[in-house]
Amino acid sequence: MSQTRTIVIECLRFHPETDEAPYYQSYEVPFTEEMSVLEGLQYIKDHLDGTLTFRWSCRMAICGSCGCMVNDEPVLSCQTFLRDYHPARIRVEPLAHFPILRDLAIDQTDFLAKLESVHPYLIPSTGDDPGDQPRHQTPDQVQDYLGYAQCINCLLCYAACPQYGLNDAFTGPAALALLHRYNADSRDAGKDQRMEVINAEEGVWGCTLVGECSEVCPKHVDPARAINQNKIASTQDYFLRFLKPRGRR
Amino acid sequence: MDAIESDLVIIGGGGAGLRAAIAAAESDPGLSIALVSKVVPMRSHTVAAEGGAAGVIHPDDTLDKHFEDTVSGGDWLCEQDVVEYFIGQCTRELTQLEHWGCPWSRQDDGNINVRYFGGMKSPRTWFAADKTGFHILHTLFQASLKYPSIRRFDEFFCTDLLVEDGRVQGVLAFNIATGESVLLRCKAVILATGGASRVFGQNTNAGIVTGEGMGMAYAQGVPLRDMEFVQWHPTALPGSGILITEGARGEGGILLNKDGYRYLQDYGMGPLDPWPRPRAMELGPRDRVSQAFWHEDQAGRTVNTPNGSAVHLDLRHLGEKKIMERLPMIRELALTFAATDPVDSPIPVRPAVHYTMGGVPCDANGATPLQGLFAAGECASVGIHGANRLGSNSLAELLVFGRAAGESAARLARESTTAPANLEAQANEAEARHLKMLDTTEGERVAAIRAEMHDIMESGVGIVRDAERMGQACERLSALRERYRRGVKLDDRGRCFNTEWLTAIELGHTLQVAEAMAHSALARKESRGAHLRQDGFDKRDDENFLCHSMAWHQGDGPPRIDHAPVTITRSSPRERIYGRDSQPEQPAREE
Amino acid sequence: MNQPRTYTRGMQRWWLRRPSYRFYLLREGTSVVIALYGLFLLAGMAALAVGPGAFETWRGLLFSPLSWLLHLVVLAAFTFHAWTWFKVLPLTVPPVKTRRFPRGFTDATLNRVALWAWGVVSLVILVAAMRGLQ
Ligand SMILES: Cc1cc2nc3c(=O)[nH]c(=O)nc-3n(C[C@H](O)[C@H](O)[C@H](O)COP(=O)(O)OP(=O)(O)OC[C@H]3O[C@@H](n4cnc5c(N)ncnc54)[C@H](O)[C@@H]3O)c2cc1C
Ligand code: SF4
Ligand code: FES
Repeated sequence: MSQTRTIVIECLRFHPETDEAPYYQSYEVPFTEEMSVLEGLQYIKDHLDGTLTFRWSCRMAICGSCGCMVNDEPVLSCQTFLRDYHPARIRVEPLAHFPILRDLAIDQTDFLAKLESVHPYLIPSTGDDPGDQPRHQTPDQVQDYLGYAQCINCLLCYAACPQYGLNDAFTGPAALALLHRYNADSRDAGKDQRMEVINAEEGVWGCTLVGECSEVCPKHVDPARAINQNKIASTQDYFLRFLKPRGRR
Repeated sequence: MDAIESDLVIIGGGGAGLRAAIAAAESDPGLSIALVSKVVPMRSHTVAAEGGAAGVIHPDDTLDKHFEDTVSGGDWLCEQDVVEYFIGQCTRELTQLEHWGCPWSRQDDGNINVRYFGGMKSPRTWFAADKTGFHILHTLFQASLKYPSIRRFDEFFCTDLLVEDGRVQGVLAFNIATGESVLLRCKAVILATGGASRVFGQNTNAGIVTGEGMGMAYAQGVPLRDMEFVQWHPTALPGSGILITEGARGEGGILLNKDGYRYLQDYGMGPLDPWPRPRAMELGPRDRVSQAFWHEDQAGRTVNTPNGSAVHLDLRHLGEKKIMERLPMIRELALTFAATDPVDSPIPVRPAVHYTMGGVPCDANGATPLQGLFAAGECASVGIHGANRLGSNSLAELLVFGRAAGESAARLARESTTAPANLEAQANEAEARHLKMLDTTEGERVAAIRAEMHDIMESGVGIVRDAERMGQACERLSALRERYRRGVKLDDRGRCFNTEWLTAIELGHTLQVAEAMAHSALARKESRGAHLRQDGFDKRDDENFLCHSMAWHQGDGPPRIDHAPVTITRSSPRERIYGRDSQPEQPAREE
Repeated sequence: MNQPRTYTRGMQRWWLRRPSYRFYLLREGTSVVIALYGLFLLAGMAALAVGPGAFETWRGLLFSPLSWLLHLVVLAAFTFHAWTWFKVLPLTVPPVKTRRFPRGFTDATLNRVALWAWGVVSLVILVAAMRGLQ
């Protein structure tokens, strides 16, 4: 077995039934070289304090459940390792900018509503009927959107975005990146429907390019890029509408 | 208790549940559909599937080959009529996903690209890089948002099926955030709750794959079928169990023992050349490859890692470019979780529990023996996997049978005329039972009971089995269930987001599923597919055991096991041959 | 169904939480400097419109030592802002365009090319302006 050391994990605690406000609680956790922060939390839950509450599932950085703040950095706890912090203690908190449901679990309903608002599905052009055959799409055309299709909805980018923290009406990085994912797909013809979301004040113009969303994204989705390309699209759309007015859809 | 009325309740928001919901919504937009899941749908375990989904599209491939590969892969324990239906639908379903936007990997000319998986005669696996399950799940979830009749209950934990007059008419669930119970009334239920691999300690599955769906049906008198057939995936990271996809071998990765020797050639999967070729060496079926590891380990030819013995999966000869292009996620996983860069060193791997072949028996329409109850996906035993699932048949299964179950459940719900039964008493009784757990002050911790279950299953019902150890496992499980009944001590007594409590309820179901596995295994006195015995029953015995095992719930006691016939239409059992004699029609292409 | 009670932490002194937030505020701050300088230039135009006397007064302001100092500050702010601007420039180029770029042409390359182009153009303008003054 690898050598076991001990690290102090300080967790933000909040229980809606009993606590007025959150507080911190520290635990001493033995850990080995390959133990993640998530495994540290699981150790606490299993052996020290069954009340500590957090979400997790895949433990391989793909389901997007386990996001939290570790020393003020939004991270996936399953791919953040205790060894990288030892001997200092670490502080684990729920993702910033979201309402806390309990302990490290945040309320994600606002995000889910935003995800729905961007029409995140292919809207083929009328008349495009591939029948029972797959459509053609070259590897290059796949590359045009594949990066934006990597989002695991972990919400780290929202926790990194001060604009979302200041005003949660902002559609936000992941949802806008997903919007762009479909716009950039050669099989899609739904740009016009999504333009309204883009143009809105809470759309791309809610972004002031702090750029942190792309920095913290564990899947290199680069939402900042998706958003800023659409600022150009939105501006174009604005002027085009002057030139040739068309009905709102 | 709140009660909510819908026509159809779907438990599970993984690939199977979402596909069923969309199918039901499309077949009758007037139906109200409740999609209930203990995690937000895109967190479901389908998200973790890497390799791909099977569907005949390659010019060298035929439906017959898919049929043969599936049935022989399953060691003839497949329902052949169901397999027939299945293979005919796979490509249509994968194409449907393409139409919904799934980013399938393409050939240069824009056509779908397919690759080999273990046990395949021709390349048949559609893939989206090495994140196929992720892309399938997100595509399905996002597509499901188009249908207003699908009402989601995200983070609602289902605990009981409510049966009245011999029909399922409702489901009891808890809203995780508040801990409040809700009675979901309906005319039909589709179980799409996934597998039960978390019964074992070393496994490739997400933490939510705990088998309650099976447990809920089982408790209502539905038998669990073929539960002894548990698939070990030969290549998982030691310790964490994180999966290294078979795609890595499909791309040309090789397995080496501690002497750098490709040991699979000693286990009937050789000869080495030409490589890669289908159904041989590293592309042999999972049961055989995992069993070979066990033998190597017994012979002391494995390497030691801090997390137990392992062999080496070597990808170095593929080169950085190909690894980055075809297996980017594998590289990332190996770097993060094994501190190994496959570009310049082999990845240590070992078998881990991966898939539950058995489950709730149902027909090709998803209908189970219980009126009003349908099942789809890994929790179901529709009969296509037999004694050993072929890689990439499962993702295809989610789609094909998700849709079938969705459509037939919708039909039943539409046609059902019976007046809703009074379920309150039943629901209240079940709720009280669960709430009582919150008051238990004596007993053992959830983690202690779970760890013991893992130990029992790993040591008694492992890759290679014998009567003595299986018998011990059965006894120990029985005792463990008794300890569970005596009390699980919870630190957490609140209602809001009490995951400790829900895990304890989960564990109750998981223990019963474990028991069904152990007893079914003990009763199968032969070796077939993933069930390998070493105590004189090391051959397949078609005379006595070409049949399904059925485990019947017996309250607090151990299950009763009996057997049911297998449907054989056009392929009678032969020897399963891989490697030298499998005679590929053509060598695998370096793709 | 009841909504669960939640707790929302505020945004008090959010800029202290990450160095990058402070960098961001600095960047936004420099744009204020730029805007103010724009106003100052506008004032010059206005002075010109009022008459030669007013313009001379405005021009006189330019040559005070304080003005030299401020101009240095403004130059620094301008340069910093332009640098950050070019840094994010690649984000606005869609991949449909970038995939036609030669292999190995990354964001960093684009950024560097843009910075150089900007430098050269600035130099040309500067030289031209100097010539014009002579
Ligand atoms: C690492 C890995 C890689 C794999 N790769 C492949 C591959 O390449 N090809 C292939 O064909 N197959 C693969 N598989 C297998 C395949 O992914 C699974 O069999 C399949 O995803 C199961 O899907 P499902 O919809 O049945 O269940 P899941 O996706 O597991 O979903 C279950 C759903 O049920 C819900 N649920 C469960 N219990 C409850 C409850 N009590 N109350 C409420 N909701 C509940 C969950 O929240 C979840 O939404 C892989 C599996 C693993 C582990
Ligand atoms: S864009 Fe990145 S950080 Fe944001 S939710 Fe998606 S994966 Fe997470
Ligand atoms: S547990 Fe799934 S992303 Fe970390």
